[in-house]
Order: sequence, then structure tokens, then C-alpha cells
Amino acid sequence: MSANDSKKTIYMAKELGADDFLIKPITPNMFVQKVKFTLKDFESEIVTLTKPIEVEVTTDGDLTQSNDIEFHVISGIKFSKDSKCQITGNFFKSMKIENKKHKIIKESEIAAQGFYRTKLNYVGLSPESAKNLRNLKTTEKK
Amino acid sequence: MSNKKIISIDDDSDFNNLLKVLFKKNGLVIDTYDNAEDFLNAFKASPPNLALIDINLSEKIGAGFQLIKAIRNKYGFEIPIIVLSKRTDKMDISNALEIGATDFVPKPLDDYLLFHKIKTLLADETEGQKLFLVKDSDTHCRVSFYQRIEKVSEFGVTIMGKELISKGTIVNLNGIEIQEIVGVESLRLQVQQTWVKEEDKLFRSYLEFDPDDEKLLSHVRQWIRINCE
Repeated sequence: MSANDSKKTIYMAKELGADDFLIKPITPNMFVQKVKFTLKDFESEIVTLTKPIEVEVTTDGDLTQSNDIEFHVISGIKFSKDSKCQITGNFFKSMKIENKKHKIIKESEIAAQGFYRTKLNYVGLSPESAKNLRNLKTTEKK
Repeated sequence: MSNKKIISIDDDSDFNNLLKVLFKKNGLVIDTYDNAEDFLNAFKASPPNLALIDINLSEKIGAGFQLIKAIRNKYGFEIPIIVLSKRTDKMDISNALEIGATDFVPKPLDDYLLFHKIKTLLADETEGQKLFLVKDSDTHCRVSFYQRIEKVSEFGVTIMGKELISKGTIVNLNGIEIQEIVGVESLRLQVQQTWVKEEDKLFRSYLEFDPDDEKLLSHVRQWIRINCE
């Protein structure tokens, strides 16, 4: 345990044989949880699901660029080419884009440490939305 | 671009003539067919670079869908298929995309949109297409996708899927299934660890429960007790 949260201290402690690290201030429960987890005597309490349970995962993203064909989103998720995802936000509302399903063009590229840029194609864009996007492009140029 | 083979199927001959004119105007050539047999023969003769399929063919209900399925089964997913359909057929659109159509363009036709899409799909790289910056007040968005829960312990949950979730990312797990385990329909958690398993090449993310959230933990313990037996 240490009040020092520098990576170097953590690294050194682990090198010297510590299994894990807790940064002070800690709550009693945090301590108990770490100790229990480290002791691994609790394997029996881990439930491995035989029937896979689907779960929706949502996270924040940044919509950085767009035209009337594709747009780019930066998030903590690295999508594969055949991943399926939905993107929602104010931008889509203001462009009157109804379809929330978009097609991932290719595997996400790294944008910064822990952040990925995903390029997506609009799918089933209505003529009105396409026009809105094109207008935005021309006003942006001025 | 004009050396690309593009074929289409639509039982409306007026529409086919319109397509031919529009394609010529855009420096492209299209072979139009009005029935599935001729269309498939043309496909077999030499697979095209791109195909347009109207999913509301009158010859048989669902004929358009069957064509997409047949093409995907035999030729894989390489060849782009653009589906044409009346704007009102929302179910048709999502069904077509589900079975493997690449994209969808509504009728009546916005030819600017259609050719922009065709040119993007035929180009080897989408680079070069000009993109504009989204204004700051509009950049925030929510990204959502599906993964599967692999393991649950009283400390946290491991989820798995094709997507890598970076360590430190804050996510929400949502749904009725997760509610059964944790007691709430949407739970905000931070990713503590990520790794990939060699045998299935799927990513795992370990998300830790808040050790001070007694209500959550007791719900999870109870769920574990029931499901361990």
C-alpha cells in the first residue's frame, strides 16, 4: 500500500514480488476486495456462463469528421471490420438521420493511446439528410 | 472507372432506361436486367464489380432477398450490392442489410447520392474524399454495440466480443439480462483489464464492481448463489 501513485513505484513493488497495488486513500471494502481477489481461493464463486448472455455496451465517443458518405468517430473501442454498432448523437438529429445502424468501413485505427478512430459509412441516407450533409460541407468551405 | 462491370435488376423498364442514361452521364456503363434468370446468368458469366438489386421485384415475393442470399453464399461478401427500394419499406431495408447487402439507396432516386456511393465503393480506398470537421457542440455521441457476458464473480464481470475495449474506458452495460445479475438496467463500470484469447481470437474485458456499492454486491452474490448450484 502506498500513497504514491507514480507508475514507477507500482512497477518496482510488483518487481519486488507484490501481487497487486492499492493507492491510498483506500476504503475498507476496496482492501477486502483486492485481498480476496488476490488470494484466488474464491474461484468457486466465479460463474462461467454456459449460455452466453448478450449485453449492450455503450460508451462516449467523439464525432470528428463527416461528409455525405462517411464519418469518423473516436472512442475507446477498437472495432473489427465485421463488428456491428450504433452511433447516436445531436449531429445525427440535426441532420435528420434516422437510421442508427452504420457500416464500419474497416478495422479501427489507433488515434491516441487507448483511443481509436473508426470510419463508418452512412447506410440508407434519405435524400433530405444527404442534402443537409452536403450543405454543411459547402458552408464550411467559406 | 468505365472498365468496371456493373449490373442491375429491376422489373421496371422505364427505370432501367433511366439508369442507363444516368450511368452514361457519370462516365459509367451498366447492364440492366428485368428478370432474375438473366441477371444471374450475367453474374455467372463474369462476376461484376458492383450490383444494384431492387428488392421489390414483382415476379415473386422475396425474389430480391433470395438473389442477395444466393450471391453471398456463392461469391462471398467481396462484391458490393446496393439495394434499391421505396422509402416506405423500412423492414425490407434492414432485412436486406442483415442478409448481406452493402448499402441501400431509396427510390425515387437521388442520383447524386447513388453515384457518390458507387464511386466510393468502386474506388480501392476511400481516401481522397473530402471530409469536413464537425462543429464542437455536435461532436459528442454515444457508441453502442453488443458483447457477451463470459464470467461473473462478486468482484466484477468479464465480457467478450470482437471489439477491443481499451483499459480505463468507462462503459455502461445495459439490458434486462444484466439487470438480473446486478439489479439495475444500466450499470456504469470501468474497464480494468483487457486481453485476447488465442483459441477464439475474441477480446475479453474485465470490469470491476464498485466495492462500496453494498446493494449491487449483495444482488450479485445472491445471483451467483442461485446460478452456482
